[in-house]
Amino acid sequence: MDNSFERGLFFQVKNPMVRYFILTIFVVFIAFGAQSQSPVYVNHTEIGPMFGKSNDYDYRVNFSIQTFNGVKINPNHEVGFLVGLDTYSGLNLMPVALGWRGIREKGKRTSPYLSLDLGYGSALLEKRDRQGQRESWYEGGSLFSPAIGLRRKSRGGKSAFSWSLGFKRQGASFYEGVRGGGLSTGFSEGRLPPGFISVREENYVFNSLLLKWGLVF
Amino acid sequence: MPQTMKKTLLPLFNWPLGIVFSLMLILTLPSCQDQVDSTYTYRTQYPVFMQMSTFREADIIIGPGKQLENPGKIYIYGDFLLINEPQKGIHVIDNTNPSNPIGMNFINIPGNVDLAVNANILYADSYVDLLAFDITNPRDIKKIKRVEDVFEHMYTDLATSTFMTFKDTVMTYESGFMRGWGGGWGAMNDSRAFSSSSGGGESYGQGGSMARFTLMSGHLYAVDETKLRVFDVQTATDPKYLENFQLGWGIETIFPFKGNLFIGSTTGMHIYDASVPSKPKLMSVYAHLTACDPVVVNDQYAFVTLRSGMTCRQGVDQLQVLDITDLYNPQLLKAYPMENPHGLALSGDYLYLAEGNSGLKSFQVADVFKIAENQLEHLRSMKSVDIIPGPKSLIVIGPDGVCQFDYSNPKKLKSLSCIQVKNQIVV
Repeated sequence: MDNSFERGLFFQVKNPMVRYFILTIFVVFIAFGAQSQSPVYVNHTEIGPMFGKSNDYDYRVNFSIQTFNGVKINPNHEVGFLVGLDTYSGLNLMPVALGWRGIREKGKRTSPYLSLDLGYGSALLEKRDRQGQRESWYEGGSLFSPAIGLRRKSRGGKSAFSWSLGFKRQGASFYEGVRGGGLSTGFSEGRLPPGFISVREENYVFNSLLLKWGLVF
Repeated sequence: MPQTMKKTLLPLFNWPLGIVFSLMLILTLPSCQDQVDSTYTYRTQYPVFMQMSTFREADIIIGPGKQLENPGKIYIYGDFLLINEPQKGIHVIDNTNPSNPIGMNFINIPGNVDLAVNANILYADSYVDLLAFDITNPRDIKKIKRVEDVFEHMYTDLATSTFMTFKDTVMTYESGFMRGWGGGWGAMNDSRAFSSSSGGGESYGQGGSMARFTLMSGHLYAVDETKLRVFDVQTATDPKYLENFQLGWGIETIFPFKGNLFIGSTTGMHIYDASVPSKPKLMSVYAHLTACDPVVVNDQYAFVTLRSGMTCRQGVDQLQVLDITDLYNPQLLKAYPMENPHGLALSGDYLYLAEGNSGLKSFQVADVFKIAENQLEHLRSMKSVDIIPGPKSLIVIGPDGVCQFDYSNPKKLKSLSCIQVKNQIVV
């Protein structure tokens, strides 16, 4: 467990890496989307509970809502961008991710589908708390969420309901720091943010099982 | 039709859903429970014991110029700037053209915190010793003398010449303490495995080893936490250690003025009469000013900044003007509210004040009762902590580094250059 050094680099590495990753996927998706002749706009909004185990004894149930906006590039594939809100206890995260929906379309009213959302859960909604020399804040983390489900078209075929079972892996961090006085930061060399003399860092990974009910149009 | 389209897509999507689903389960099921870990990272100092002989045997190496990391005291010497890098040495910077300062040399002096120049001789401390360098030609600096064991207060064992200093470090350890939202993160594994920073990020701190120099009437005065030491430097190349005087506690700064020595401590300002340079005599202690408060003086007035904040706790942000015509009894004349005053500089009738994050201010102070009305400029973007009025330029130290301004027209400062520093100064 001696990876404390890497973990200490929180303010240098974590976010840029995720950003690069998102950017890469985004570029691929745009290229993908550009091949199709007449993209059809798709919205897929889902809500549902997330079930997880905080530790060996305690379970948690949290609420999740997300809306996917994308294009149908052919009858089997939809790609797009999603935003949402995940309410973990004491912490609200805003997922910002790229999404893919793969539908096994056989002309029937009900079709199975797979989905994958990759991105970043942002702690934008959490306020930075500063009291004197003390400061605490949250940072978001990477988001990975595959799911499998069914879609059932409405009679007109324009819209559909969806039911799915999925998994969500969401990272997040909490920091609590003390600012120092004096003129110089000295030599912390990236292991402490500028101006701080100490920082306590907690890293979380929330693993949840998701049940989602959604609407596609 | 869908059959032909599928071929062009990733093969994964052609797999039966069952296979994909089982793959997904294999990937995700083992990690059902939330993971949490916590680390605590902090700055601290730890004592280090060293033997002076190791430093004395090693040559003082004068290397090529290098980047400023952590600027300490800045000394203007003719066309050159000498900038101390605390505990490491001295940068020699060619400042012939203040618009384009060029780093020339770096004198590696372990344990160096202060410097002074007298008649082409540079004096610098190195832990317990005082070194003298000939800098007649700053491109070819030579060490000419080492006066040993003068700052002997650092010694823990004189017989083996072992001394103690403090090293700064950043430590990270796995902390068992969890913030505990979401139903208790339980499982306090209190195995606090300390992992000290082995990989870089170390430098020597200043704890307990500060020395502050000043030169006056052929004598070099150095103060450390408790003592004033006097060196005879009338023969510049041959500094002689004379004696030391006990001062008290918390001594931090020293500056000469009109044949007197002003020595700042955390509790007050000691004024010494140095009319006999080898035998300074205590005149008075003025308790209202402390070394935390930067002071500049002219014949009649002292300008002092008091700052609220962590270290000195004066609780006010003010520029104070004191009447010091009677050194035994300074009188407060007027106080002006400021935002976040740090260092200040006086040049003739003009006062420059570093306002921390709020920028840099300039005032005309011919009438000390109307300073607020006579504010000339407020450069909000120029964050600053200290100012030195040099013969060629106004040197401003701030988060962006060591910057120089043309102040030949005091009403309108003109930016000339900035020397970048590696470790940002936090205001």
